[in-house]
Amino acid sequence: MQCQELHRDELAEKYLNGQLDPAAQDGFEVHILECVRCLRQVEAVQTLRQELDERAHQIRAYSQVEHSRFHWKWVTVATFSLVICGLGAIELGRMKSSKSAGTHVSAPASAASSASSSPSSSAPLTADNRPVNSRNYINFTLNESRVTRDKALSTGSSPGTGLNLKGQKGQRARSNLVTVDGADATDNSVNGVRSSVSPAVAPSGEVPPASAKSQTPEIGSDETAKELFRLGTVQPPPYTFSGFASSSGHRASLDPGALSGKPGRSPNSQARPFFRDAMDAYVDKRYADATDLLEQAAKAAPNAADVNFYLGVCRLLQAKPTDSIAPLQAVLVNVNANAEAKANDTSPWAQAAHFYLAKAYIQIGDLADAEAQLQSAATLTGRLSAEASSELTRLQAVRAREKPQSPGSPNP
Amino acid sequence: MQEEPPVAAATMSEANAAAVVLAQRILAGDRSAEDELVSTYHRGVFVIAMARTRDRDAALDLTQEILIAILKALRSGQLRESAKLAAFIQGAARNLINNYLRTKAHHAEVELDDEAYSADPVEELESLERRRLVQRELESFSITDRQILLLSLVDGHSLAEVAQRLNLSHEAVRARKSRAVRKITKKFARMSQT
Repeated sequence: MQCQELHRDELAEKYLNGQLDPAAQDGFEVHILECVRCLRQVEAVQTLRQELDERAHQIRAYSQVEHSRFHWKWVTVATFSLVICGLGAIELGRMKSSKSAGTHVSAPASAASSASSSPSSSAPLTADNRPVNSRNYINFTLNESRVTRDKALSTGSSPGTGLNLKGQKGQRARSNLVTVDGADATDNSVNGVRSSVSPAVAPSGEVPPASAKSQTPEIGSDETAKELFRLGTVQPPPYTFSGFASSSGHRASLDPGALSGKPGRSPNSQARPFFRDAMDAYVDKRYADATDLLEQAAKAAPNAADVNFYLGVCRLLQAKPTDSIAPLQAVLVNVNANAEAKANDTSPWAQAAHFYLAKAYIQIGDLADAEAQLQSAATLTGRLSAEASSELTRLQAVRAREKPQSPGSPNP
Repeated sequence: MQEEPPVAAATMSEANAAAVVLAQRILAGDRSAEDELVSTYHRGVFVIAMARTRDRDAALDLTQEILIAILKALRSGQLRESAKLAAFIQGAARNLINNYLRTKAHHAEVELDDEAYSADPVEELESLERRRLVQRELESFSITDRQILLLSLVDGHSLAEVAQRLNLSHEAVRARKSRAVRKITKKFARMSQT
């Protein structure tokens, strides 16, 4: 092997990424043992790679913030445009009402209160007083003189919006979606109460609990609900790709096929392509795609801890806490079945599985189990120890505060 | 990475000739030759162990084991063609690392009676200094450069994939990555010379 080849083909990077075939790998290693300059280059790339690996989370987080800024810029523009259109429609309605007083649908009295809670209000914009929380879409739309009440039933499996625009006949008002601030007037539930936009403003990259307030039997005060909301919020754990020929301890135990040089034979090896694609989707925050791929990976390798862990996390991130419990528990079952890992406490998945199980339990309102999981996570050593301890303390405080208020709680 | 001039064939044959002499001196029982072998190949063996295990602690242990095993083999005359010393060392390193990966035996039972090799504190300091250098350089890079390096060097994406993800042209990604890596490599080379 010549030095030119190493430079031209970027062999150092391919070597460090485990992308060379065995013969090329041997040849490359012999060369760097003989050539000090090439060895230095490999050392440089190796050290750089190591540093990047350690900062991966930080770099990815920074890029997400940048992405988020870009996104919000356009959301702001769109919202501003909508407000202007809305004000124009109101003005138009007033002009028309002054001309034809007897033929229009008058604006309800509550329109005034609705207008007072518009974004132009002097009150500061917080999570609790966002305009979307108090705007009455129906009253807002009825200012348009051609809008009439829809006579179709507003209940049933596919209820109408209650409005009919421009006097259309035979067409369900359902198709006339009115979108304000990103929320529409569509009923997302079946025969249920019209869904509302969550009052909480979740930070970028976080997913709020699915229904912390409606499903938690132990929740008493609003403050408690907010604290549980915060405790149940899930931050996606980082995933760092570390090469297909990775051979660190825990990966070795997951994919023996990769280490023995016989890929594609063990169930884990069959699951790897799905897993890699899933993790690509996961890194891109396409959690639904990641879930689908992880489910396929889990079929091929039902005991793979990494597959089950990320499947549980993805379901949590999709606000499916109940579905996330089984795969996360499978991680712990497999870890406990591995006596060696248990004895040495070397499984990197156990702590994380306990931690995210706790999140799932918080989201479904099972605070006793959540506390038990957080306790387990806090006692294990790992990067989540401090966070688990902190959240455990907060959860215990919530439970202690709520106990006297709910003596009949199913989870004392 | 393309700025460094390629090593001339003459330099390589000189290195081979030096390796032949070194192997013969070790066979003859020259202890200073053993020190020389360790200092010459220690870093290379560590890089190989690190690349194959991706575990710094394991790589440090394995480097010792590999060098000890090689010294024992050279003392007992197991090297048939002394001109192929590098290939011999690479083969020994590969086998021991593969054994480690199979059995996860962190402490092999290879021992050298009285002069067991221990980690060189100077080498450790140099390693720390190299890491600090890379940290400083990384801080000076733009976030886009850091993302390019992360996606290509750590995540293993091709330049085309990186370009697509970051909404940059392929050429821009290639140039930025090449410039960043070259900058660090040059600093590394300068540090090694001083």
